[in-house]
Amino acid sequence: MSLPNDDNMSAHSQLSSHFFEDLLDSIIVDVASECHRVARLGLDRNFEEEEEELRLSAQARARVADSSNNGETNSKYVVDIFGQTHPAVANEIFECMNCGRSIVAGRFAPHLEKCMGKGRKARLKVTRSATAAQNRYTRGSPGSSYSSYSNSTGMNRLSNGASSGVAGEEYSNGSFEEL
Amino acid sequence: MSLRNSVNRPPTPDAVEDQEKEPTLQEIINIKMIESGEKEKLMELLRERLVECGWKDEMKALCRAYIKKKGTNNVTVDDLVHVITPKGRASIPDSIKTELLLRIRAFLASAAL
Repeated sequence: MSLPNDDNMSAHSQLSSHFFEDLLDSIIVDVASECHRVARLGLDRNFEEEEEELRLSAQARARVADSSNNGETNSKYVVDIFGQTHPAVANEIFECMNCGRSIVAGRFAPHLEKCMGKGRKARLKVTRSATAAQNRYTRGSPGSSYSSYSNSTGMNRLSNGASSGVAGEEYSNGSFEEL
Repeated sequence: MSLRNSVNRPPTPDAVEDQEKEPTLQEIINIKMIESGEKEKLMELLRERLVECGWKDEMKALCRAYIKKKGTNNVTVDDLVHVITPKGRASIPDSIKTELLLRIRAFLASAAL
């Protein structure tokens, strides 16, 4: 690009720069105005989340600093990342689907062992399974445990090995609920 | 001719008008740019480039940080402009600046100024 004289060239560059600065200033004002609007209208969903996360992470750090000593020794008071404490024995209460009794979750597995599992007394309970099934139905129990129960009554008659296999399944169901 | 009192009025300030009638070169260019639509095109081009290179996001982050510090209801647009202008002007990538300047100069040349 050759121009007749240098003055023209420098004047042009000066003008161009000046004009560019103008454009840039306009855009800066636009960006500032947009940010202002978003902030005032509360449209920035990440804005509060950031503050919340900062606060929560500060809290968590404080808690870890506090309870890091107790963690190993006293499991009763250890705090997990959700801020929950877990007692040594799970204390929620469930209904046994076999006998209909209320059992503490922590005692559920041993109870099932006796209730529908290996012992002589468990096999005697098979005859009462029909009434127990009816009670369960009217109480509106969750479907999954009900269906697995009806399997187990069938299985109970076959052999010890099969019933204890099913009881093993029940164990895992119980432990899930415990958490 | 205007000898009646009722229509006596001070003469229009011709002297001042004369000065204003002569627009600066800068203004002439501005007007030409706007009239031809070139200014709009350049604005859009610059906006697009600044978004692509992340400049706009940087400026928005600066604004958010400032707003968080000062509190949402204590901030004016003017404050924000003052916050981002120095950093904004300084952090323009050279390639973008060059591109825009070349286009502006091309326009000036074509407009025979």
